Amino acid sequence: MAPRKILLVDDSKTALLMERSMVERHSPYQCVTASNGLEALEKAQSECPDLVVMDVVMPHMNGFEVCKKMREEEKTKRIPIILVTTRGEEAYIEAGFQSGCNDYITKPINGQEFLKLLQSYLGE
Amino acid sequence: MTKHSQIIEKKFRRFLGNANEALLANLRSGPNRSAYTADAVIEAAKKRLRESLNATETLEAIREIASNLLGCETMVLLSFDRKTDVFYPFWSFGIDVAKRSMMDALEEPASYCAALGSTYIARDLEDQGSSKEHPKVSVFVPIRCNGGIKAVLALLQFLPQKLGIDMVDNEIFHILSEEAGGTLFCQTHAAPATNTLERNS
Repeated sequence: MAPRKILLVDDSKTALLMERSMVERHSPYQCVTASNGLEALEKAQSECPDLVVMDVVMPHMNGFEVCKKMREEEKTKRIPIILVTTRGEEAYIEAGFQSGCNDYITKPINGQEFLKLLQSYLGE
Repeated sequence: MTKHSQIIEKKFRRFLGNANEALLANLRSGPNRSAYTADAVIEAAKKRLRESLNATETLEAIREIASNLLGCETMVLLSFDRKTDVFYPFWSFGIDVAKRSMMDALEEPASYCAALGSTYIARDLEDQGSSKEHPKVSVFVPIRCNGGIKAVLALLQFLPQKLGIDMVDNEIFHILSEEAGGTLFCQTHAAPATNTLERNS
């Protein structure tokens, strides 16, 4: 069985480096990355990930917009999406869920909680 | 306590009154991120700084590390002129340091950090009464180059969800201290003073 695939999306190289390193060192999952919203949409179509972990504030298209677009497309509408952002305000979290995300976590990421959350979607 | 540190303490007694022992004790017992995944966080910070080839890239790396790994989106890099013993704003993000009052407020803790030669944690400059368990703090990190302290990075106003300084944060402060100064202060052309007020992750 092919390893489960996660699409990591963030315009910050630091965030991508850290998330990728956490996943590859401490889980059996495979990673692909995108550094903006448009690239995320393309890779969601072409790579068929099992889960998307995505930043909210990004150039070209933000995480909420990508979320909405993914929910409109047949090929991507069932892929679970976790939004990751520094903004923890209630209104922001609500906007995230309204855009169609499945989970919402804030930076700085707690590694152990992050890996548990991934596992809850992808299994062992 | 050495004579030198006694002099420093005397000089900065007024400021030390704010950064009291209870505050520091609370910080030391703050919530810890998992040691299990600390390696990934630390590796990301190191790699990001080492891959930055010029001052502009390094400043962006500092901003990203502060925002994504430390939970701080307001920061000032204060350059230190050894001849005059004066700090001046080299770069900032999320705050207007043109205000004289801001520089005045930063100068004492930055001087203390430079004199100590190590990261210095103080009660936040704008803290009006946060809880004892989770005090708001500012962190001052000495930025080294060729063995000397060239600047102090002031990390101000941590995000509300950031409840303490843990051992991973301390390791990141150390990495910033040792590795951020190279492209900023050890090369011929240092970046001009800049100020960025908007940008969130």
